[in-house]
Amino acid sequence: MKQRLEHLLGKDKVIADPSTLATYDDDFSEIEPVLPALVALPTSLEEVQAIVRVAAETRTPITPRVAGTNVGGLAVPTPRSIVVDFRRMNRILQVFAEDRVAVIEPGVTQQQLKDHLDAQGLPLTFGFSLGPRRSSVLANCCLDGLHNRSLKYGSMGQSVSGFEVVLADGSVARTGAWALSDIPFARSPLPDLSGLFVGWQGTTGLVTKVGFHLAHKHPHTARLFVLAYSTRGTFEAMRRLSRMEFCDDIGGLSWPTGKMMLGVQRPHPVPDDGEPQFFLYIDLTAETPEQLVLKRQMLRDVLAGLRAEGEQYEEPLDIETLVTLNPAMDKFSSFPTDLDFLTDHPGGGLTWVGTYGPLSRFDEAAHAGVEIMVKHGVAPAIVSRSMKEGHYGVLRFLCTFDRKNAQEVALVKRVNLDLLRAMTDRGFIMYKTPSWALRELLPKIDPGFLSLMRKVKDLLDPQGIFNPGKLLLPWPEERR
Amino acid sequence: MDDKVSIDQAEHMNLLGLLLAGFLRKQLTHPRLARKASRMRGAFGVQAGRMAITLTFAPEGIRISKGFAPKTRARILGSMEEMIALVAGSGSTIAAVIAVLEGRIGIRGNPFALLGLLPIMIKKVKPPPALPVAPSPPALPPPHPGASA
Repeated sequence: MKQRLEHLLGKDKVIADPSTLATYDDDFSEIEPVLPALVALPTSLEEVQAIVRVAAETRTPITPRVAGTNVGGLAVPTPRSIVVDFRRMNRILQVFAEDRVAVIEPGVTQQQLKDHLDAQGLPLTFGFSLGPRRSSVLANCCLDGLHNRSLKYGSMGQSVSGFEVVLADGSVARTGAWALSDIPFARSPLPDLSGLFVGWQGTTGLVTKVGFHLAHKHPHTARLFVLAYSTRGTFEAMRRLSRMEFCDDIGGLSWPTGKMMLGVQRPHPVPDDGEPQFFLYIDLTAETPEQLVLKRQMLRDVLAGLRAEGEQYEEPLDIETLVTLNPAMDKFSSFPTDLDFLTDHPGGGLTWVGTYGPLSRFDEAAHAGVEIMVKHGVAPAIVSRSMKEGHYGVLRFLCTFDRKNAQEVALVKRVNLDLLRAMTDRGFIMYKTPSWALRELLPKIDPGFLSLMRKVKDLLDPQGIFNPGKLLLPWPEERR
Repeated sequence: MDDKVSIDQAEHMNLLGLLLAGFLRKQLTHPRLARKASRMRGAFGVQAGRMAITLTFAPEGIRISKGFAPKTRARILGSMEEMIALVAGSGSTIAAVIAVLEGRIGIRGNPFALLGLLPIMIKKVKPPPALPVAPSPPALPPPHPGASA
């Protein structure tokens, strides 16, 4: 297979030496590393097609990968697989400025696209994940992650307006309006086949291009932090502000997350008496300074109403003030950003249970999660965010750990499992779902839904070559 | 460079202490404030809302501990909002004195001792002179495949 791929792609696009392969065997998380058989580095659609045809002929699994920054093992190779490293397919192909649509390849990073839009002088932006600057925009689309515009637009998959995909037989399909129009302006009005590649975690095809919606970049902005002294006060503010639809982003960081940002690697699990429980962060944007003043006043009014109900908050602080207080807060000044306090620490491990769920249940779910983490002696680091004007939101529980310490690895596995069960019981669903969580969820998922998924999967990937084992489906060797 | 600001049991430190630690480190990059701090001695209490810390000045630097030490030369007390306004506000000592006179910031102990502390605790507005720019390192080669994992 190595020779065939070298012949098709060129020797410089195939990696087979064990030391280089080892750099592809893991991600940040506690998931066991797995060595791939080969790594292919395509630079064109035709080369991706060639890889898929070879994989199909030889029944070799394919694991797509860009930055490898997933924290659920989704980019950890399937045993004996070909890793398709898309970093060399990193062209920003088109920006339809008037329609606010971009077409990009998988290797385009968050920082690259931002720099491109800025360099073009276009008043356009897009939803940044909290992943590193080098992480892939397309991967976040396919994995239906969240971003800093999720309050308005929902998860990233909902910004997708069309895909170019290499299917299991090596053929190519375009979805959404792109099937008929030269501009992938929307997923409508044809049958919405883009959904076959969102949330499927690379198990239905190899996406080689995405068309997705950009957002207008307003000239006046404010990033504000509000210290909130209770869980209810945090999420009630989030709910009310979401309903009023004047904020661009509303999130909540629990006190350990704030302390980690301020340089404490392992905060004690119990807060100091009198400490705020959450940093609420709120982004406001406007076309004029007067509009921004009005939005700030609306925020203060909401907080005043909640104070009258007994909740306690500090006055909103501009990020600039916080950066004056402690330069470490600069990490939150602009996006994309590298939250290195989560990834660049002794031990280097980062894992989470990240869920989407109804905002109405955030208080109870957060309390349950905090209780679990404290019980295990872990500081309850939570990152939450309202999405789609508050119809739902993200509630994430983070653990940093030493990847070389077996006891810590075992501990975070127990913490994650308990968190997953507690969140699932409350109707929350883990996103970018890792295999360990899927095994847990399998008996609980609607059987009709699962059956439909299997039919779709069998149709799109009859030989089970696309990222096997990564989404509720058996590994190919188990099927044979 | 030696860290002139240390935190006792950082994993237990409250948010106030952590915020002030970063602030003081930045303040001490100003030579005049660094000299002032190096000449100060003794413990000072700071309370914002319900969070309290003690700043202990010694020749080796400033140590931040959680809560009030039994013996402090003076204490500053106020809401989180007032404390943030004091520290990160206009940078004016007069504004701080007015806040005290209006009762928005409370003081206990020796007020004269606080006069030495105030300049260190109030944002230095004027940035220190720029340091000579170090030559840029040579451009790095492209990342090793997978090195960004």
